[in-house]
Amino acid sequence: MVVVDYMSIAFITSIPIILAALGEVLVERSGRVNLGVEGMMAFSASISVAVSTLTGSPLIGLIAGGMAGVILSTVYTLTVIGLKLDQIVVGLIISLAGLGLADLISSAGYRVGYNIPHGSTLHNTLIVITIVLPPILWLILYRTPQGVELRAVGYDEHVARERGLRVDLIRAVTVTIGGLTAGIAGAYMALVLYNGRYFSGITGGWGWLAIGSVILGYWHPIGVAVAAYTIGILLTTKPLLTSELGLPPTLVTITPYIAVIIALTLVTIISRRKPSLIPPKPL
Amino acid sequence: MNPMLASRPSLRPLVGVTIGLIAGFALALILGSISPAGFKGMASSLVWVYTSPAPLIFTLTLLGPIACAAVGLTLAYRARFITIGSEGQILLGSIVTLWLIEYSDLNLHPTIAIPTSIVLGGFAGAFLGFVVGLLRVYVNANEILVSLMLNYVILYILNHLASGPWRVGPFAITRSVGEEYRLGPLAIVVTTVSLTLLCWVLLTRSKFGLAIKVYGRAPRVAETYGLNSKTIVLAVAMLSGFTSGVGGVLMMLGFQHNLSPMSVSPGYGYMGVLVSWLSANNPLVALLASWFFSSILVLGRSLQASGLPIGYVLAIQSIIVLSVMIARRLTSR
Amino acid sequence: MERREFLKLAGVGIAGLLLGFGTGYYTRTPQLVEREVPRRLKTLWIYVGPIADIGWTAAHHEGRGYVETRFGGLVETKFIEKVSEAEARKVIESELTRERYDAVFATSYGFKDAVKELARDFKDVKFYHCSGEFEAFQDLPNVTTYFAEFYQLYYLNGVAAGAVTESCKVGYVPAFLIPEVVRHINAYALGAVHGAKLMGKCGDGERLEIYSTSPLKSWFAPDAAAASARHLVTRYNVDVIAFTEDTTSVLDVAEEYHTKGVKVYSFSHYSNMYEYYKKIGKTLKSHLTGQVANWGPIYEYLLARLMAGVFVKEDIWTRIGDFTPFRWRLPVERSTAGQSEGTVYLAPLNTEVIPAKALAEIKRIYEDMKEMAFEPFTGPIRGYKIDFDGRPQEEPKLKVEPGYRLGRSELWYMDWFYEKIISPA
Repeated sequence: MVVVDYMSIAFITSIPIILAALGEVLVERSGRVNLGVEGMMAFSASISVAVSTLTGSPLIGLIAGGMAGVILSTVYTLTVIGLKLDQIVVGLIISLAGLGLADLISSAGYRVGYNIPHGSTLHNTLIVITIVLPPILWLILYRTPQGVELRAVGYDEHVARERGLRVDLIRAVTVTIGGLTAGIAGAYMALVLYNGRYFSGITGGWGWLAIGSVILGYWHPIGVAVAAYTIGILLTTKPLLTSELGLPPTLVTITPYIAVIIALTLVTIISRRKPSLIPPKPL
Repeated sequence: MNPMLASRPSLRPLVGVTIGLIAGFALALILGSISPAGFKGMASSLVWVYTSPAPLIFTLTLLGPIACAAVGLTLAYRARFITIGSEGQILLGSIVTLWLIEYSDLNLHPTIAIPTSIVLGGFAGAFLGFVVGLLRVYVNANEILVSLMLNYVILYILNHLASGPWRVGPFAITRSVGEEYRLGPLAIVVTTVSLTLLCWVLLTRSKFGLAIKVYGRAPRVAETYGLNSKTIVLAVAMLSGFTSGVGGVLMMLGFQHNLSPMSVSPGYGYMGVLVSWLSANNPLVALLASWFFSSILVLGRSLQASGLPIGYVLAIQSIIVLSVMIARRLTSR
Repeated sequence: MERREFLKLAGVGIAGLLLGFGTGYYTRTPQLVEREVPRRLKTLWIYVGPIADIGWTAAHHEGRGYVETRFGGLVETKFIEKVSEAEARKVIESELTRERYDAVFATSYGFKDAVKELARDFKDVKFYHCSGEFEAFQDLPNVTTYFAEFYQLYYLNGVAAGAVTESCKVGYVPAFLIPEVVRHINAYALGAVHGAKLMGKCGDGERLEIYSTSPLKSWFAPDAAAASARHLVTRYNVDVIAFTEDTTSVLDVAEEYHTKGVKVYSFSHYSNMYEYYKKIGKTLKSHLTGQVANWGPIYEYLLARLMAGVFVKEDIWTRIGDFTPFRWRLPVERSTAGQSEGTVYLAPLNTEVIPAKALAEIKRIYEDMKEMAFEPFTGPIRGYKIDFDGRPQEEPKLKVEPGYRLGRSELWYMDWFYEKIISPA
């Protein structure tokens, strides 16, 4: 019973990581990487609190959070896909600028807003979405022509172009979806996990963990969701590991980060064994 | 990746400037109304930052970690090795320095301790870079994420040391390095400039630099010329780690002096990353751009005392880099 | 060519940005009252955290706002937030060379070295260091130390916790196990036993268990604090959780359990969270009471003296009753427990959940504390020494002799846990 409790707590906690990671899967499957997830999440967390305070509605706050993510992802679309600027730098800039802008908005006094209560319809809807999204994305990516095109763009941009695929358009769409999911993820952190509050540094590196879990889950929607959930388990069972196994707290704290590094090394070993599993080339 | 700028003059930078302007004003609008008195206050702050001794010295002090990280990164980025581990390398450099001077029981004389810590801190950073490079070369692990994750690992180790084994007094803070070990702005500038020149000479005057550039542009071509790609990547990984590690030493001896979970850098390593791209990965320009970035930090602090939120300052830095990159792209077409 | 082009771009791009920069500048400058004043003090606050943290820095920021309104145009207050302890010295130094300040408030322990060095260089500026030990500044005539201490309030929180707990298990989530936090955990644990005994619960407090999780190792770790709080509830069935962490995310977790129908309680920390939510029309169900600091009266006192030309080097360590207009103990029925007063006070008491008997006891002790007639750390107290991760280092033994009351240094450097604390949990 205790195990079930821990697992369900871990799931509720890891929802933002799962959502942000699923959006990033699409981006990376289409051959781009957006390192701005952390900034998009922080920015939308701040926006969602401000909007929920102003309107009194956490639902509108959540939607505004999603839109905030889309707005920042548009910067990426315009500069990386439009102007062909370096995707890594632009991603980092979005991350840094997003964190700054988030604090800027909250400095206008929006710190305590209306939350989405646990067990409310809206919260349950978000849980259901998080559960059904991975299989749906899997169906889209592997069983529809659009999904095949998307993956083709990710595997080889030039071949895809020669075949007449609208590479930039496909990427613009995936990046926007990525912005939306990161935005909802950030809003979820503020409105659900922290009772409708924003504070500086609210995302605490979870955006980066989301990007890590994309690789940990081997760019497969279901795998990524499981990976993100696993990271959520590591984050929530931290105190259990220290109290039951007597591990030093610092060692337990760094475990998720080390896990991502190990996963990154395993990815190559797996893809060497099974050539059919070669990942896309986002980087 | 970063094409050279067009050699003929062009009006296109104006587009970049316009973007910068709009972005700046958009941010100002979020803050409230626009007032002419603001320009006066701004102007006086600007003049102060670039003319008074205290902010000038402060700027040069901050230059240490930012510039050291940036100049090393120019080499890495030229070779398409996109590490952002400079943050962790800076922290490790500072940890190692504090260990050597305050916790190693060696009691070295400053004349020995300072050069030793620069070398030791540099090697500590290089070691982190080596780990990232090794994983990239042999198992093709993505260096961005590996280096980023290592940044977090080092940060938590720092928090552990400061609040645990190295703690002194009633709060989570370590011993401070003695007065005799501390570095003034001159020493920081000399070290930083030497590192910059070293990187510049390596990049422009050596066979190795040529190899980096060829490899960065076309890895396959480089291999057909007999250049060992593994060696190149490992070398730039360690070199960029080394300079960032030295940056950490300069941070510790220049202005940090002790470790606490609250003394952690506001992201000098990440600023180094931005600066490196701002400079189109040219070490000499990177030094200049680092100085510019440091001065913005100092300016930001002073404007903050006048009521400007710090978030604005951080956002500004990012937007500057973005608008310059856009402008550069538009002029190169 | 490349460089020149770049410089041109950078130059003009930045000029544009700075233009925007400047526009924001004036809008945020406080509107000062234009009138002839005898002497206007210029003061600077240095914050280690962001003013948006709802914890430590937010409390100091409110204190700054308090003096600004109290003194009207007589005091000009400026602040710089997110100053890392490493940069503090240079940041303050630059600002002091730019403008003449009368007073600087350095609100983090780690600013100690910076204050020490700067107080020597700027002899005509008064420095006020928050949370530093006075010994460190003994030879500096222009430095005063101040702190608002919570251990009495934690004891009262404990009484509420012991009276309310159904499972006879209460918990604590510490940021660090430094003396300040250890002292607060001990006070909370002693109070909890008192509360349980009062209500005749948990074998008169004998069976009460106090779980302290391993330290988060950061003042700011909302996710880890939340995980620790959930762990206490899930693993040990703890139903009242106190904490030291700057985002109050433990209170969020308690509130979350309440909405799910599980009764878990927590406290306000530094800011009155109950009031924060009340303002937007929400009532926190999980809020028992809590420790709130108002730095305002301390700042008001220091600045009022300075304005009159008086500076006395002193060490201020405020407890319940300090800086209140009437500091005699009041009868229970007129007790001010749960109301805003002085520099440290109890957050509103949850009268629906805390039994009337315990409420009266909390009020009685609160009033006694005003005259120091009740001290939590009065022997006999048994305990065991701990290390930085909260691991026991010895068998429990007598730490405070019967009838002895701990003094300043014993409180300041406390490194042992009360024997009923289970650590690391």
